[in-house]
Amino acid sequence: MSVRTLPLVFINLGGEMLYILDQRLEAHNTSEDNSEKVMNDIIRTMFSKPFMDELLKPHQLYSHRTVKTVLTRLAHASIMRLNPASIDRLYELMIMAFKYQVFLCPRPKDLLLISYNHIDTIREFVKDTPVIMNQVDETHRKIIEVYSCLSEGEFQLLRQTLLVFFQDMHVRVSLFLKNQVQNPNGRFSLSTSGPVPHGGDVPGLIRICEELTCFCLIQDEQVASELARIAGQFAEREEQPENSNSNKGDDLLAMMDDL
Amino acid sequence: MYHKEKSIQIKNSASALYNNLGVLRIAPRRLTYFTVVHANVVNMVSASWDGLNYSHRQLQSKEPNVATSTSLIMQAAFCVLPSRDLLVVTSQKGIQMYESDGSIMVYWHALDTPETPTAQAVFARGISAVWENYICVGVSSGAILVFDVPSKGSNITLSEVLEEHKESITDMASECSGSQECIADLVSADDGGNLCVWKSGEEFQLLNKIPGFDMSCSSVKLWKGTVVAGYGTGQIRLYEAVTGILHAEVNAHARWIYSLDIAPFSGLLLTAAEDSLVRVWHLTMTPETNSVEIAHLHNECVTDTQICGARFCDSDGYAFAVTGYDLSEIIRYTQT
Repeated sequence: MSVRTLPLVFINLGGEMLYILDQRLEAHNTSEDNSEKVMNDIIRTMFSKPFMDELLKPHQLYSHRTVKTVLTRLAHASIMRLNPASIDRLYELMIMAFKYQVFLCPRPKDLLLISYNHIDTIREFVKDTPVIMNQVDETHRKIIEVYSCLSEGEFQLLRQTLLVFFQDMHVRVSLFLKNQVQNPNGRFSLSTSGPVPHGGDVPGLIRICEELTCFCLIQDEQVASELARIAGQFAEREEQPENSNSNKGDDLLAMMDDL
Repeated sequence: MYHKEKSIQIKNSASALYNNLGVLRIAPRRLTYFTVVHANVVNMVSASWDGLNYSHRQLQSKEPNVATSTSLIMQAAFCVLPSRDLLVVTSQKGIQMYESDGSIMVYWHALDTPETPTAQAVFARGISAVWENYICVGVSSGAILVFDVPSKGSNITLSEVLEEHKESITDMASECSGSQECIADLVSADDGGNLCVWKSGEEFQLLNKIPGFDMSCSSVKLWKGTVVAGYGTGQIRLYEAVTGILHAEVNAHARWIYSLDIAPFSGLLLTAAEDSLVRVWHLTMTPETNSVEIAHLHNECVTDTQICGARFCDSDGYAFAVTGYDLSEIIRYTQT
């Protein structure tokens, strides 16, 4: 399976962790100074050059135990402390949020867009600290360098490797249940309508190609009409579309491709 | 056209891998074997036709004590040869071949895996039996390993390595029961959507190379000299194998196609994708006009499931079975 999963695992799970911690710090009325310090310390460690350089080397995917340990150490790089029950719950939320995004992304290359989203939000958290923001920018640049040349097939292998990592995890998340993106049995809801991914076509068209017979051009009325008949054999046939998919959104995705 | 039957429960859920369902019909014993890959394990179920008896077996990938992530299985498929049936399992470590009931491993071929991982992933994927005594297996480098299989015993040997593809092999398929003259008997597909058409023999001969459009071909079949290929865009294409002429193009699915199967006696085609749909089509050949027609017949939706395996259970297409990512069952449908 793919040896390029780790950077995306830590950026995306780390990003989810930071969203949750930011929200929890606010809910506990933590002072702005302390909140900023916690977030800065975690992001500084996560995006440190040695850490990122290590992740960017080819690696087989770590186990859940190892990933959870690394993320806990990252969180504890700050003054904040989490007890084991909190760590477990935090990890479940992070995993389910990332699983949701990986499972539902319309095409495998969107894994990169998901990662860029997380990097952008992380950049927002440290916008007042230029040194850390530089680290984030540098990581962003390296991610583009490593991943933007991978083919769609290689991204699908990456996605399949991540899906093995998430397999059989069906923890219910109240926000997902409320928004009906997750069913009460913990499985995500998969829509059968909506826009097709960029580069895809709406299902429904069958195009049959019939072979044109070779012919000589002769000035003869009978031959000319025969030629017209043969030319007319190259035909397209259209069926009624089965789904109500449309092409909305593919322009936005095409623009995002150029980023 | 089809109705849902009772599902078969399996010990683990299916992983999101191309063509993740193997089916072998054993008519003399009124049994069907099914295989579904979960991470580093193959779940095998033997189901009696009267629906009363199910027996389960699990096959581990080689070196299971090593961390799961280094011994993940990519595919498990049955290979039907005139003298014997084998179950072939491909992983990151290499290729295992078992007797068709999974009872004994008869052959192991290790892939060259470097000590520290390199940028290019290493694995085997794409399995096909080829008339009369070959089993072909694809590798992530694009190479195809051709194994010579004796009519019994474990003296299986690597007879040839075909190096034509430059990208990872995704799937392979063959036809030719030996009873008719076939020009082409093997097709291989890769991650760039490129297709190679081969003639088997002591030295395999490349008959044709059909270029892809940088879009992965995840599943491929060969039927009456026609290549049927399913792509990541959700499109299916039908090509004449030897000439590469495009017969038809179908915008079949809204997401990545994961599995294709053909029922050779009836010309029924089964396609399944991440969009949660399984579709049944009918292929008609017209030799006089050298054309192939395809007509859409039926759909089944497996709610909230990205399908990863779909196969007919018999050569007429009377029944088919489906697996989905994170689902611990094999869903079955039979014609009404």
